[in-house]
Amino acid sequence: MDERDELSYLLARTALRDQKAFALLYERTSAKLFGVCLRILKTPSDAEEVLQEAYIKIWQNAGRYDTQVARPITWLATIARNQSLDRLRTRKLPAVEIKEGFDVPDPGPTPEQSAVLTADVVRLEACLSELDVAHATAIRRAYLDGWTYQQIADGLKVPLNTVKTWLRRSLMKLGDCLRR
Amino acid sequence: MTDENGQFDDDDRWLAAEYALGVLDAKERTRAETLIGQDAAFAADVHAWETRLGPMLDAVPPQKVPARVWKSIEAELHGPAHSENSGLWSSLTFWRWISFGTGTLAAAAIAGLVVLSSGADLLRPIERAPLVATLNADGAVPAFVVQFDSTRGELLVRASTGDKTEVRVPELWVIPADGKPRSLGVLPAAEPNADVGTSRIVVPDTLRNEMRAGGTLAISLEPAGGSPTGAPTGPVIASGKMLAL
Repeated sequence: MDERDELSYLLARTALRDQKAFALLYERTSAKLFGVCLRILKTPSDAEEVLQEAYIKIWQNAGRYDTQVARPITWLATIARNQSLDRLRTRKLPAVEIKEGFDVPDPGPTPEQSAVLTADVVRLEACLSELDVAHATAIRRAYLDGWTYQQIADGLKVPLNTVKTWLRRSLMKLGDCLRR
Repeated sequence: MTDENGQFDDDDRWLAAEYALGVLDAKERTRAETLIGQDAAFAADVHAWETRLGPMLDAVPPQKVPARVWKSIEAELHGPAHSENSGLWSSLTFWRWISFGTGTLAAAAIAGLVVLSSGADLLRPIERAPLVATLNADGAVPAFVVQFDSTRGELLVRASTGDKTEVRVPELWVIPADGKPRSLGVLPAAEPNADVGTSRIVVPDTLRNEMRAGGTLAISLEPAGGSPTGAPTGPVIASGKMLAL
């Protein structure tokens, strides 16, 4: 079976409280989820703790996964990401160092990073590429690195409300494009 | 899931997208998370945005995880005693051999082994093997996982969320090759706010032969006590095919 089917299967078994399936699910997916936690939190000790919290959530909520909506790895990584953002927003340390500007656009996944470009990635990338480059970059920075509106505003040296307005407009365009 | 006309009309609609994008501060995130628990439409909107943006995570490379993380997870979920009690049964290699081995013996030896989602082409008919189906409501979050134990003739049904309509009860059906649904019984309505409920249904002798791979299980909403006609009368809220391994 392919990865999607295998992970869906392991999630279904996990929903039935199958500890071995859960162990295998962890073995298959934890490196990916740890990558997501580390990318947002930067500090390994925080990322480890949050990864642990994420898998407890996955154990508790596996029955909510719907095979017809998202790929299982996306669903799992989203849980790790939400957990990381909650930690990022509440910890005392300065959240993200903003050293990169907006001049260099983030190119999105390279073939090396993403062995198989699935249809949903291709579609999202196509829709992001329809946006203004700075706006698409801001969306990636927010989504992948956990930047807040305020941090984006600081990075771009524009007022907060301006950032909100054009980011919302970009989200609307993105949503429209993805529904086409 | 999304309202084409009104989606961006109010702040909470933006809140859903902004929560999924991750630009909110701690206070706003907490507000959004409270709403997710209280407002199903809001939660669905967040979920839709998470699904749209989620593919961006493909670009994030995996990182090696220290072994202590799994030990902590195991200890937290099953208590420290469990993680010490390892040996063959909890060995990953052993488990993998069993679950993905092709031998009939391996598959038959394990009760309650096996698989999954509707629509997947994983049919592997092995006589008397346990059956599992996940029943997805149409694009929505609630799902039922149904497991059939052929030796006991019992169905184990787990529901993620109960329907809030008081007078309707979920009724489980098996639909064999002839396409005529046969009732397997009424599921006890889930407690309000109960996250997960498990029901046990004894499959009538006359229907045990219908519990086979390729057959469909479905859940419809019926008046209290079950369908008055013997066929589904209410909306089908979930369905899925039975698969065997």
